[in-house]
Parts: sequence; structure tokens; C-alpha cells
Amino acid sequence: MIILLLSGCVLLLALLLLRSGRRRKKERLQNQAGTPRNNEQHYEQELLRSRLEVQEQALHHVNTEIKDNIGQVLTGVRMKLAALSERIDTKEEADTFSEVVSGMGKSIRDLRNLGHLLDPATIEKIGLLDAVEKELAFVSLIYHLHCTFTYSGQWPELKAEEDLLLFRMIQESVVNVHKHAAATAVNIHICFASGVLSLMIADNGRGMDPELCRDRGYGLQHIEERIRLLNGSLDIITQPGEGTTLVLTCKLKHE
Amino acid sequence: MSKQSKITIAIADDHTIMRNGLAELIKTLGAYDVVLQARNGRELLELLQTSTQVPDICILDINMPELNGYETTAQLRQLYPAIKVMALSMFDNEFSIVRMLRSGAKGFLHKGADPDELSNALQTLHTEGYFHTELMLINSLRKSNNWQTINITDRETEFLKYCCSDLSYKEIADLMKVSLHTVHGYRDALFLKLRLKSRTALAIYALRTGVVTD
Repeated sequence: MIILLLSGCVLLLALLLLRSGRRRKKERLQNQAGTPRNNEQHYEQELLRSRLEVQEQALHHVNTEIKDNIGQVLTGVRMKLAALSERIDTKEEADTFSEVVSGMGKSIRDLRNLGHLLDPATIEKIGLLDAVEKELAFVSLIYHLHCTFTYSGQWPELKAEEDLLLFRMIQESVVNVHKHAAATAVNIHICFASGVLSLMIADNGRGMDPELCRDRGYGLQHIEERIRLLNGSLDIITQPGEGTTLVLTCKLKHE
Repeated sequence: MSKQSKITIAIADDHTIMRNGLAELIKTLGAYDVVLQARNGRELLELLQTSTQVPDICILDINMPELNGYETTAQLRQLYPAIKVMALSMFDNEFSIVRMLRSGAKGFLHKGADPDELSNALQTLHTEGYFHTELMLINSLRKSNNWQTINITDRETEFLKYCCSDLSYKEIADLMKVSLHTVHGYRDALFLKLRLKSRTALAIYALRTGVVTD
């Protein structure tokens, strides 16, 4: 009898707890519903941020593999080939061999530069400005694009995340220029004044119909995603035959 | 050349294929004997302890398990001051090369070197005691010029000291409490004054002229 009474009490308590729990949850939901747009935006930004973080981790992993594994093996193989080539008698074979060895050397260097600039750890260490300079030196070499980079204004203290986002946007833009613009030169300018950072990427390529650039490819989408995380905006100034200029502006919260 | 007069070399690198490749390449040069090969710094030091001969040159990879290039170099300097250490770098990452030089390495070689470069590097290190491509060029250009007479400001000297580390320019700017732009200015001014072109060359200059003491 007592046991029955006790278990009845427990059951009642559990029910009460359950109901109050539900009510609290409901209230919470109602509170959230009060600012649905903000929450949705916040949620989307967090989702985007963590997606980009995962991407950056993967890039870091790729660079580590290049540095510690693939690059080492390729370099060792290249040295063995170079040693072998010393033992070759005929000129014809020696020429072929030296082509193989120097071709491998070039690929190893390119692979290295690529890995280095993809690695978020590099960007964090050397900062945005030096990273952009290195990237453009690499791009000039690989894509045969003439690149110039200037910046003006008092340079602000940027957070590591901002450095990385800005750098990735520049990287993406330059790849876009290489892929689509048929340009020979690209000019990048960053300026910072009264808390507003503007980044301009201008090429001398074939340009496009401004109507058409609404239909954005992956490259531009990636840039837009990142500028959204910085609460900034992207403008595209372009006309067929007159090159394309991307203008990115964002307000930085700190001085 | 008789066996005795060959320059002896030890190599430490944790990548077997890399180590073998380098040893084979050195063998083709003729004037050298690879007497020891180790998988890391710790193994190299152990091998040296039991070895009857001390090699003339140790070629050390920078990133190695157990005992890395920096620590190995520092220990070699203590235990075997006669050995000349050549830092072996996968790619010429200026930050780590400079740190190796600071630890006591006398030159560096990138793993992409071809047989001619390799031969030149080993020969110069053995006879001159130092090897760095860019500095060699300057040395031959103006042997008579005394570097001490070049006017370097206090801030530039301070900057030179920071150059002999694995700090990036951004990190140096933070430490000197100036903008990155200013640090680039110090760098460019020194490049111009000393007719150098790289951070590594600046560091070697600083170490050789005594601006920075080891």
C-alpha cells in the first residue's frame, strides 16, 4: 500500500516536472520567435563560420602532408634521379634526364608555395599584408598575371579571423581573374579610413555584362559568404571589354 | 684523391628516401664521404659517441622527431665545436633557417639543390666556414669594403636583432611597437644599404658582423 502511494507521488512529481519543463521550453521558443530574423541570421552566420573553419582545418592538413610527406618523398626521388643522371653517358639521355629532374624540382617548389599559402597558420603568422605579397608573387609566376598591390591609410590591428577572411577573398578573386577574365594584369588596393576598410581588385580583362554577374558562380559566392561574415558588402563594376573591379567594403568594429 | 683526404659528412633526416637520395647525390660528387646517417638528432649524437671519427660536416634536417635541428645544432656546437653544421631545409622557409643559423649552423642548403649547387655549398662551407648563396655573391663583389663602416641606425640595429629569430615581420612590428609598414621600411633600408635581398642574408650579416652575438 505504502509502496503504491509512494510510487504515485513519484509519478505525480515526474508529471509536474515534465509539464513545467515543457512550459519553459515553450516560453523559450516564444522569446526566440520575438526576433526571428536576427536569430536566423545569427544561426546562418554561425553555420557558415563553422563550415569555413572546417575548410581551413582541411587546408592546414593538406599543407602539413605536402610539407612532411609528399614533398619529402618527391624531393628524395628527385635527388636519386639527379644522382642517376650523373652516371649517364649519352648526351641525348642526359638531356632527357635533366629535363625530368628540373621539371620535378619546379613542381615541388610550386606545390610548396601552394601549400604554404593555403595554410591558415601561415596567414596568421605573417599577417594579411605579407601574405598578399607572397600570394601575388606566386600568382605572377604560375598564372603569368602582372600583379600590383598597394595599401593606404593607418593600418588597423586586425583579428586573425579578419586577416584570414580578407586574404581568402583576395585569393579567390585572383583565381577568378585567372579563370574567367582573360586579363594580363590585376591591381589590388586596400585602404583603411575612419573604421572602414575597402578592398579593390581590378583587372584589365574582358569584363562582363553587369546583368549577367547577378548569376554568380562559385567564386563570387565564396567571396560574398566571407564578406557577409565581416558584415560588409560587395560591389561589382564591370562592362564588356572594360575589365572588372570588385569593391569590398566592411566596417571594422575596433580601431 | 685518397680516402683520407675526402671531406667526411654525416646526415640526419627522418625521411629515409630523402636521406638516401642526398647521400647518393653526395657520392656522385667524388670528393666526399658520407660516414654517418641518422634518422634524427638524438640518433646522430648517439652514433657520434661510438664513432671513431668526427665528420667535418653535419647536414641536419630542421623538423625531426626526438631531437630537432635547432637542439641538435646547439648540442653539436657544445660537444663537437669543429663540426660545421649545414641546415637542410625542405623549402627555404626563412624563419626556420634564421633560427638554425642562430643555433650555430654555418650555412643552409635547400633540398631542391642540384648537384652543382650542392657541391659548391659543401666546398665553400668546408673552406670558408660559412655558406649562403647571396652572401657569397656579395663577398666576392666587394671583399675590400668594410661592412662596419656602413651607417645603421639604432632602430635598424634593433630590427636586425629580431631578424635573427623565427619571428615574422608582423610579429617583429608588434614587439617593436610600430606598424608593419615601418618594419618593411627598416628592412628595405637595410637591403639597400647592405645590398642584400633576403631576410636570411640580413641575419647572416648580423651574426657575422657581431651586431647580434650568438
